[in-house]
Amino acid sequence: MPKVYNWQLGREMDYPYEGKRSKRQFAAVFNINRCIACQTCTMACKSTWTYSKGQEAMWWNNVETKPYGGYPQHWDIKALELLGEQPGWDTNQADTEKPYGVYQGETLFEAAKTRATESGQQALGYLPTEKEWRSPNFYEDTAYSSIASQQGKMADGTVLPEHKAWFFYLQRICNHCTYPACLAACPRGAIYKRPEDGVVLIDQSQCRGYRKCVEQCPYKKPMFNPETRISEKCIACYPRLEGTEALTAGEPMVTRCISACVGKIRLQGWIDDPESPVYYLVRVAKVALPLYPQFGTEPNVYYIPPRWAPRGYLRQMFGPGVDHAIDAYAHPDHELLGILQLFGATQWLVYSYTVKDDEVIGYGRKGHEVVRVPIEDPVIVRPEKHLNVT
Amino acid sequence: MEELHTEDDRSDFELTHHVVSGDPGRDHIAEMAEAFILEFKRMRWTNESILAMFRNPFYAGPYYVYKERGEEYVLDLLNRLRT
Repeated sequence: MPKVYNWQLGREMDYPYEGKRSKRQFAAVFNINRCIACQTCTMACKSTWTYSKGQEAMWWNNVETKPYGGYPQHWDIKALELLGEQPGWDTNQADTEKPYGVYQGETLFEAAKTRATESGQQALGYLPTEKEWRSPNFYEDTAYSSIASQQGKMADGTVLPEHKAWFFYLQRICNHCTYPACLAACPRGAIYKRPEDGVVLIDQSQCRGYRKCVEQCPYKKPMFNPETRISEKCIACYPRLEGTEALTAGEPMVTRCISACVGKIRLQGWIDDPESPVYYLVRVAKVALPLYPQFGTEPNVYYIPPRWAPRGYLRQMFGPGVDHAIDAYAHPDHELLGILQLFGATQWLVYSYTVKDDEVIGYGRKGHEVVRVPIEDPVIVRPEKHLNVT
Repeated sequence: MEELHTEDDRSDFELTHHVVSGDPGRDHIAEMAEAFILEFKRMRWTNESILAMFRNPFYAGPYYVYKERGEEYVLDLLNRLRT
């Protein structure tokens, strides 16, 4: 099996195909600290891409409440169980090229070499049941546990609207992984990564609905359409990314979920372009982290971790960079503070930026200004009779 | 971690998971309060506006902090935390 370099693991790993990086890699950063789970992103995606017959249970974008929520239910617990307990990262080896150190455990691809449950399985995985796909917002806003409390099984179980327990919202789309497990899994070779932007797509004319991608993507983002009997997935709104949508006049725009975000928690860019604000957040400030990097797919959606959740849980979810990321976010330098203002500031895709003393400027594909945001916003207080309180 | 239910008594709409405890020794309420304050400060809310939110029972999270720790505690955080 060929060896490919996974920078999130800080080492080479096994992957069924040669490592051919795209010219640019689509990436996004989601700031968990600001998400209120309004699901506007979810509905923006739904009403754009998955409103047809056969797509009823299909949510390319979803927001789930952690630790209990999941779509499909328990997806991450099941993937972690399949992978088994792993030794984690040797952080002493961390450097610029290996920001988290070197991963000492097995990836899902490596584990499949000895523990595959069927021949041809490239990454350990499982097929969720129909029941698990059914309720995308299961356990939304559920802290631990009202039911247990009522049954007397947990003395300090608590209920909404007021509780002491922690939870946070996890926003999920396809990670457009550098080493996608769905792509590796497909026996038809129907899944491909676009060389121009790294977007992972399923060729609808090649797919025969074997569901190997659904089984082996650990993030469970390819989904089976029972009407067409082939699989579908998030396409990173590629017509917007290409600037070929009717209204964009050739200028790339961010995805629907990112542009619709009410809380302005999302920023889209390129992970491998040092001029992109996303590159700064992930590779320089190291304030944004990949989701379950131990799976080995090199996912390209990154998260600013929630500062109030237990660190052990967060380290399992985002790797060993959690403590640094939270510290950097709580005490941002001027450049980071400026880039944080770019989140949700424009529908245009920001390719590069300049942070000045009092404002940050974002530039589009041709180097022209697409957004200018003050770092110190003026405060305008509405008259008391209009205050939005009850 | 305590197991709450067995597979047998599982129903579709019951929480069947385990308690995921916070970190012993870490003050999660304080961290939540700091997160509220810093996020709103970054949106350039004034101390007065943020305090008004903490005082308002409509905003359950901040109000919980206010009720548990008191106004002095919130004021101290408001004065101490800088973006």
